[in-house]
Amino acid sequence: MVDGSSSVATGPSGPEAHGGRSDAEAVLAGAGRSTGSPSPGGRPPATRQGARLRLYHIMAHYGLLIALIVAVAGFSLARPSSFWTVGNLQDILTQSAAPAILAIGLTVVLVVGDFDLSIGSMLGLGGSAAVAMMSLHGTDWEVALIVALVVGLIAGVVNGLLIAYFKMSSFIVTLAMGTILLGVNFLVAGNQTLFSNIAPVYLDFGRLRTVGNINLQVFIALGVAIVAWVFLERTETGRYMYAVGGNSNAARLSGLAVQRYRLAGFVLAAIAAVVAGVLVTAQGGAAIPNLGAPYLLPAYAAAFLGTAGFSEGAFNVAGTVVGVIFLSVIAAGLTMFGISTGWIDIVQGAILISAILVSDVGRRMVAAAVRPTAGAG
Amino acid sequence: MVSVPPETIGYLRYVAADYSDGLMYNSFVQAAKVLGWKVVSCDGQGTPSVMAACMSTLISDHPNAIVNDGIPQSLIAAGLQQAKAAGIPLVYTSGTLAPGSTSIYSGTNLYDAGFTTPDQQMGVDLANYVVKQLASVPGTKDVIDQTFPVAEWGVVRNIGMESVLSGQPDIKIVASPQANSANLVQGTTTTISALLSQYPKTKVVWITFDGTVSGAAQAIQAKYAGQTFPNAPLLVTFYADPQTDQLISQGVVSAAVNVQLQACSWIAVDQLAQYFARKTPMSPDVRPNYSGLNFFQTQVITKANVPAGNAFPAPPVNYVTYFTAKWHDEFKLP
Repeated sequence: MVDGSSSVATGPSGPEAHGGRSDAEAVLAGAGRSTGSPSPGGRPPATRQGARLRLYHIMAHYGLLIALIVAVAGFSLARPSSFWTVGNLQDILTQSAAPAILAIGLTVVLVVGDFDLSIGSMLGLGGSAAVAMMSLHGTDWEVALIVALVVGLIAGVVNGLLIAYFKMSSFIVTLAMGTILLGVNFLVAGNQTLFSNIAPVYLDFGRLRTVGNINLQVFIALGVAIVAWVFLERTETGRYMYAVGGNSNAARLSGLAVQRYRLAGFVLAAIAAVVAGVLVTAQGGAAIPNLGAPYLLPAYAAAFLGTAGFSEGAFNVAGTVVGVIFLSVIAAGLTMFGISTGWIDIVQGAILISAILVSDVGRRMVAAAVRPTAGAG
Repeated sequence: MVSVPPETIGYLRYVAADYSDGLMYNSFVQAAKVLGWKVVSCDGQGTPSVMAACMSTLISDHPNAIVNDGIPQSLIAAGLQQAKAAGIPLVYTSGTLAPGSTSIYSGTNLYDAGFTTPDQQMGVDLANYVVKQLASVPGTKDVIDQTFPVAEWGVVRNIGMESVLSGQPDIKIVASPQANSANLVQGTTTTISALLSQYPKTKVVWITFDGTVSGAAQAIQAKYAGQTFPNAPLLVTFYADPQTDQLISQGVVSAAVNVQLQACSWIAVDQLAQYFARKTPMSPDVRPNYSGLNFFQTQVITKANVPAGNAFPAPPVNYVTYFTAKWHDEFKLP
């Protein structure tokens, strides 16, 4: 992305993630992230074209949400006695909680224009480190949590330093870091599944039923989502992070400490991964080797799906959360239809491509329609 | 009495992090130590490329034999062929590996011998336990059967189960999802949760591959917190490893059928010892006859008989004592 870093072409803030917008548009996106709407000063489009633009605008802003509603409605109609039940919806939310926290952390990194492929391993190591502290070293759960968070902090700082300050490719550094963390995970856990001497309070993080019989994890994820949303959307720092991701050169020339924001992105992603790891191991009551591997790609899928909702092609917390829930709904619904795991993976992948395609086409159409009117105005 | 030459055995581990792998490997080392053999191991990490590298490394050490714990030959065919060309005997110890295997010499088998557990019988015995438990429940009883067709032992465990349940008209398998090798625990939680919502009258969740049982346990715990059978489904699986034992103690897993997987390793060492010391060909039988002793007697482990301290169940027939005594009688030991 920026600072002459090698991730310019591959970073999600590049043209692919912003629907082919120019740097200037991307910088605007960094500030307000609303380039798809017709310019207020532009000539009003013809009625037919206006209707089409409104439709595209709706699809670009709410396409994912509409898809989620359609999926829930479809599965509920097809399986009214099993899908549309309180129990099933609670299950979907519970299973979405830890993946949502992981994906939210990833969203922060994507917002600043980087990739983090180490978050899956970080999730595994975070959970394993906490469980290992209790299971192998007999520490209290509070100490175990602190140790896990410190491990995440260190990994995030190392990622951030190498990428932001030493200008190494985020793709390569985090891929390597993921491998290192996986190795550390095996060492920490003694190459075995850890399940004994886990404090009941720790297990409660993943199992406790709270208000409305809803799992505590759901509220933890909700809290993380709200904090992250406020941070990115309603604070100066958050807006600067979008600016860095939109066009880091412009951001740097504007006086922003680009490197610091990128470093912060990796630290926050690592911390979120540790929290997710804690919840996963708390729910399962065990830490298994290579625990985090299955969580990496769905986190990316959710974050990219999230660009098809709420924010017209930009990574955003609300979109990511809806993306996670959408994937869980699809998995649960298709399972109820007796569709095999292989097909569920294929359908999820196809949905991801379709969502991005629809969102991207919508943005291009809006941009193409707006361009001449803006010029004339 | 004959002497057993001091041999070096290369041992390719499927996944060292796996508990069953550890049981087999440690037992092999323990047995080899009795004969004064050296065991050189390499962890395949469940990854074919690593396994291939391990095979090359082991072959380059010129061992007297190479043993692995149940790696399908398709994953390491090149290494097996290389070893075969170098005249190194190849042995596996594991769950059922070859289709319908009573002999491993059929087809294009690259292994010289293999010693395996009676997985089909385990399926039969666990299914009989299920039938017994369901006898008191009126009406049709739904079963969710999570299969694992990737492995032959997974296939034959289900064949055993189906042979029993097919004679039970009031027990119905309503769903047979496959365990996802790439997402064993979380994938199982998602799948079983959805299926329990779809089939709320489910009375049994059958987990063919024990590696996924904690995922199924999470799904059942979330849906039936604090409830036990028959208000919650029975959760049954294979092998009473320590984690499963803990889940049995907590009442989350209802039963696990167990056999002494490690006996395969002792049999492998004995067969190799006979081969090295007497040039006797290794047995073509996957469970050779040792004076009619059944080292693979199945045990259904429940809350009533789960071992203290969540240990692996003690063997009904002590193969360690048997083979140690046998070798002291037959061989001049170091």
